[in-house]
Amino acid sequence: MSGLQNKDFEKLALPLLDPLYNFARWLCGGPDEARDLVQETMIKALRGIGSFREGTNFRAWMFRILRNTFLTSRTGLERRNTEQEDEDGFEDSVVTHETPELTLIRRADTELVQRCIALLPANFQEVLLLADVEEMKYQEVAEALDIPVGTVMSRLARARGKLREHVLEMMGTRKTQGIRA
Amino acid sequence: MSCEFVKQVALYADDEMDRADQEKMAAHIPGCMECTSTLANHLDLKKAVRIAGNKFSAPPDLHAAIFRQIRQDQTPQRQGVSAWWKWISAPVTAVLFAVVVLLSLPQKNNLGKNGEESLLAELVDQHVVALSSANPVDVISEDRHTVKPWFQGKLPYTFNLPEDKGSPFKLVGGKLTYARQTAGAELLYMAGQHKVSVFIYQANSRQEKPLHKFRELSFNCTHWQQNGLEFYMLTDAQDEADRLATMLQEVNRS
Repeated sequence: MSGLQNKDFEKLALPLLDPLYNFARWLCGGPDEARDLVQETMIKALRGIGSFREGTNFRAWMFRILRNTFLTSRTGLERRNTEQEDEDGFEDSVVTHETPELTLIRRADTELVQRCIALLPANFQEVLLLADVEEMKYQEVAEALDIPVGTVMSRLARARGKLREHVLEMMGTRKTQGIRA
Repeated sequence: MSCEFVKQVALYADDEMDRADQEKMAAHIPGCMECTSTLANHLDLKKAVRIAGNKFSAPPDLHAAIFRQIRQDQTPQRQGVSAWWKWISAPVTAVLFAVVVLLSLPQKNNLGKNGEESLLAELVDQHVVALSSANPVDVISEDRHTVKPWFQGKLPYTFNLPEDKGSPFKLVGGKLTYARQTAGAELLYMAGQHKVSVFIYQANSRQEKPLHKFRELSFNCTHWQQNGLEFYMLTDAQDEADRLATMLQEVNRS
């Protein structure tokens, strides 16, 4: 049984509003659905505060509620039914040398990287956002997504590999278009 | 020939190694081109994702809606409250909400704990890039009287650099740098074979903050705030960092 009270909940949950909304927008796409999702998450969390075990990670718990709520929504169900990427091979995407193309990532602008993140499959997108945007540890990501830590590591490696591919591809396209123009 | 450590670089970049492995890696990386460039690539990508992924902010009225619902959820606990409280609870709630919103707004600009961690992560990235880059600075000079004026007109503030003759430090140069969309100065010093990055930003307040030392990804970090400026120093050598920090503090006293 949690010793957390409603006033504790406000103190802990309200600072998470922006991160939760950001994550929800990436998951849902639209502002209205994201807004509803965050609101529903907050209410579910408040009502279920008794099931939160003190000493465990509150942030991971909140993200987990949001994600589970999303997965039962219409968009979530649709997304769950779409094909997810294979996840084997943690080492596959380890970069072992610097190529001139890789230095392009430093020059990639924010909008281009955002478009590339949006191209990733849902299971890659969420692990990447939690690890690199929310700066969660692997264990925390595992709790939020309800998957083993090993899966977090392999999924993250594959997600970064895919993202790199997309960025380099778009940078290449842009360069070619620039030359043509 | 691939380095046996290179597969561990992602764990190191994600700060997921235990202390012993992290220190082993920190000692190995500066001498290995393959691991250094792999680490720089990982950090570049992480930084790009961190900035690009943080795209959306909750609309202000969402705060209000959630706050209202939380209050509604608490209502059953208030059974038995007096009639006058029922009359004033709505305006009191509105005032409380306004206070909460007003208090939360400036936090976007000031650095809270998460903001500070995020800033530090960006600075560590930039230090690693300085370690691995063949051209780590834009103004190359050992002369502080050349490096300091180079920032004039590029930054809305100025700072002093210490005389390094007779000290174990050699100024390499400086460059304009950006962290959290704010321009700052990055200065690079050599202390023997060690590189020391010094970042200087305009502080959010005039509050003086004493030297604070900590470790991030096995780098020794020093932070202090004085005279409206915020200093971050990153290196893998601690004793040298302490002395350089003291020299910088002395020349920047008001």
